[in-house]
Amino acid sequence: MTRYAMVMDTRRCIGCQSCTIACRTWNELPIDIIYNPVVSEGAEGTWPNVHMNFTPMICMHCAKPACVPACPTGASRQDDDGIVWVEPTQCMGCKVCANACPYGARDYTKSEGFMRKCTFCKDRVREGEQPYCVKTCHQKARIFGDLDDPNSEVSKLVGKFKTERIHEDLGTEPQVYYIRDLGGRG
Amino acid sequence: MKRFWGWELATYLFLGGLGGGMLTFAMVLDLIVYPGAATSSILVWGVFIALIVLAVGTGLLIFELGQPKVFYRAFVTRTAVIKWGAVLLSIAMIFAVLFILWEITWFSMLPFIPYEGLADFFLVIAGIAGFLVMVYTGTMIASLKGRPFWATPALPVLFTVSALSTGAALLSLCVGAFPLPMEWLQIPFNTIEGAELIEGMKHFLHMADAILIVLELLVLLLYVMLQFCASNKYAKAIADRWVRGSWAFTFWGLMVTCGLVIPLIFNVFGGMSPVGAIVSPVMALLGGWLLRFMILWSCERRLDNGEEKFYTRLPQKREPFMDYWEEGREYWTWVNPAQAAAEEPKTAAAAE
Repeated sequence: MTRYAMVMDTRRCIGCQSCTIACRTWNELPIDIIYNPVVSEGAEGTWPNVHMNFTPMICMHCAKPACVPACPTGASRQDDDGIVWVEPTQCMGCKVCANACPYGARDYTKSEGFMRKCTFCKDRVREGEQPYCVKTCHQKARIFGDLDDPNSEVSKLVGKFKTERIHEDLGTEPQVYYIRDLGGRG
Repeated sequence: MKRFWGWELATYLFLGGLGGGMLTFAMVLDLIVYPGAATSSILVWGVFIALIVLAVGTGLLIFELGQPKVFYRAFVTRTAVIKWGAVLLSIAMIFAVLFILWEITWFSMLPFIPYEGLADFFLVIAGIAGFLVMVYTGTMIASLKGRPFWATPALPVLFTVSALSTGAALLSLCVGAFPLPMEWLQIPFNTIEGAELIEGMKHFLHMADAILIVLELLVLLLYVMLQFCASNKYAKAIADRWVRGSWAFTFWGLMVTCGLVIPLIFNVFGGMSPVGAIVSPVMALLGGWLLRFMILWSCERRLDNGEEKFYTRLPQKREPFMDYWEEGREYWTWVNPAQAAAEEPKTAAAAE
């Protein structure tokens, strides 16, 4: 089995938003839709040990997504490898999934009329390539791979470091792992 | 942060609850309170209005969709809450139509003779479906666990009580009215017994509305104050806006006072005078509508890690640069439109 997951090494992220732009380019997004913003709370720590803390966001491709069961049309679906995606021709644009998602991963424009979301670039991934945001990240802050494969970089990182997931208490089992610990370099 | 649902859905939640509440009360009146043949013909106009209300709500729902062409796919899956809402709405509307058809004269002139008790049966189905529609409007919102202010088990209760109260209010306005010729009804109710029945029904609906408004006041205040005092920080921030923030006047002044307390006072002390019989239901209806708007506008999800900062920095409306971008113009014409306008004739002349 394959279980695609992403690790965000926030120690490496410099907040350049390259992934945001790369994603927009590859997926040809409408201008008001962003799949993967890089958000920041600003500087952390006390002088002189201050650092900027960036959190790259993306669809968490949850193991138990809140959006898929909410969809009345069956356009929202999850594949066996964990990728959650929307079939545009079957989506009627009721926007209930966008309200169900706790991560704001789904977005909608009136001109298109269907829901859009990150697909982990499944067109690229299924051909053995990396998602475009991962390929673009020059800091190697985004790491993508198969969590079920013990030799993949993703499963090694998740095993080795203390990782956290966003809004884990909601029980959606998000599959994007954040490495926050600065390892004393703070 | 983007709000995905607008006035269409707020109005739909209100109308769906309202129509469902009317059908529920029509069923209760017809079967339990005043069982008798004349009751159902008095209720025909109320059921018709409920049908119109539900149809307008459904129309808004479909009109609000991004791709209305594929709306039939709402019936495809098995478990989605919206699917059940669509099914229940359809059942309620179909059986309301059947009830009305079985009550009017010109339908019974058709060659086949409808079974006598069938109209009551249709009203029972429509009433049960209407009740479930009412519950469903709250359930749909409450099942979205990503929204802290919505995802509470009490929201369906609040919506149901509010829907019942508004349903009783509008039904009390409709009971006894029949703007069409009385001969159209199989059992005309312009008799002394009919007038007595109408009086009784109006009195019953008034009493029910008063009790329901008290209940709604209790549920609403508990809902908001518990979100304000005892829940997670995300819901607390929204409840703060309701209780003492920018919505305090809308909530305390319009929603609680004008939408609940004053209708209750008019209802209890106004009796069957015009103030009690007309002003009070109308105010209760407007209060119910406002409640759906306020709930639907409290749609913030959990924003952590500085997401809020990110989203507030995005353009909040259609900015002028969008027009430039879509026209495919040069970047410097966005940032300095005045200079661009000044040079526009020159470039046009150069092109010639």
